[in-house]
Amino acid sequence: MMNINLVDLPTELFHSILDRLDAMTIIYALRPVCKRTYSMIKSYNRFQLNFSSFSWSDRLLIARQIPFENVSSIVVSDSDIFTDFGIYPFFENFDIRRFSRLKSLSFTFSERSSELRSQAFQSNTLINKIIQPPM
Amino acid sequence: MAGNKIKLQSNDGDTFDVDVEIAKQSATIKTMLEDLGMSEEDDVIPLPNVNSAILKKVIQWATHHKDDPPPPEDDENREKNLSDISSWDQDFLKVDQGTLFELILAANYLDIKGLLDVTCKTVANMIKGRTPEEIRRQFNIKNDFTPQEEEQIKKENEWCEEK
Repeated sequence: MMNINLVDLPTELFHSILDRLDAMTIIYALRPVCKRTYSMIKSYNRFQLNFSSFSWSDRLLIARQIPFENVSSIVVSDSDIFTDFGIYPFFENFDIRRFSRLKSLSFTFSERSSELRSQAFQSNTLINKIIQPPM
Repeated sequence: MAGNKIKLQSNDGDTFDVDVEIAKQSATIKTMLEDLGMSEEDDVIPLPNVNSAILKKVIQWATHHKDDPPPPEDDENREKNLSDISSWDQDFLKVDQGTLFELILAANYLDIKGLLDVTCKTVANMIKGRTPEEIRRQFNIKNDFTPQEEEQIKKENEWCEEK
């Protein structure tokens, strides 16, 4: 019996494995493996982006590594919206309409250092901006 | 009362007697029994996509998990926590890679969500934290990019690595 390999899986099932991996691993580690992983990842449209200070998911969008329409979920935590220098740059020009296949957008509000929590009003402004993008 | 049994037949001709309730964890078999009105008594259900070694594993998994609550319907809340694989499942999945991928194919064909989830998670764990070269070695995959293509991909990735 022929042994089947990761890259012999039908694309649909390969995508089920991608569902359990973060965008950075998919783009940086798995995509460069071979032509087959590269092409199967090209057709994947359930990317889940986490905007956090530690993973730079937004750069995958900025660098057009992931097309906006291939993102299905975004998780933003309040601690990541603000940096020492103000609003995290990605959100300054955030327009949700670009994510045409987005199914879920979550905000997690954590206990924050008081210094940043005083900026909570800005957070509301930001949410309004995201939910009701300027026409 | 002892549950009713059905016979499942692998593509290499072996038949297995299985409790109906255990077999029904496969949505594919459940549909065959309920919607198509197959009788449970004498009929043999042929499973042309599954060989007997894999079918035996699948039945073993389904027997262990027979009292599990049904998996949630929505696929939206995909559980990303790769470490929450029960120790029984971890032992169960200590198999060669060929078997692991055959199990993924069988879980998909038989439509057993729990088994598909745990097998996909196991493969995801084998990928996570590794470099492309380590992934090639792990899964015995040949790098078939030309040097030019490889250079191109390297450039794409550098673009977003630099601040």
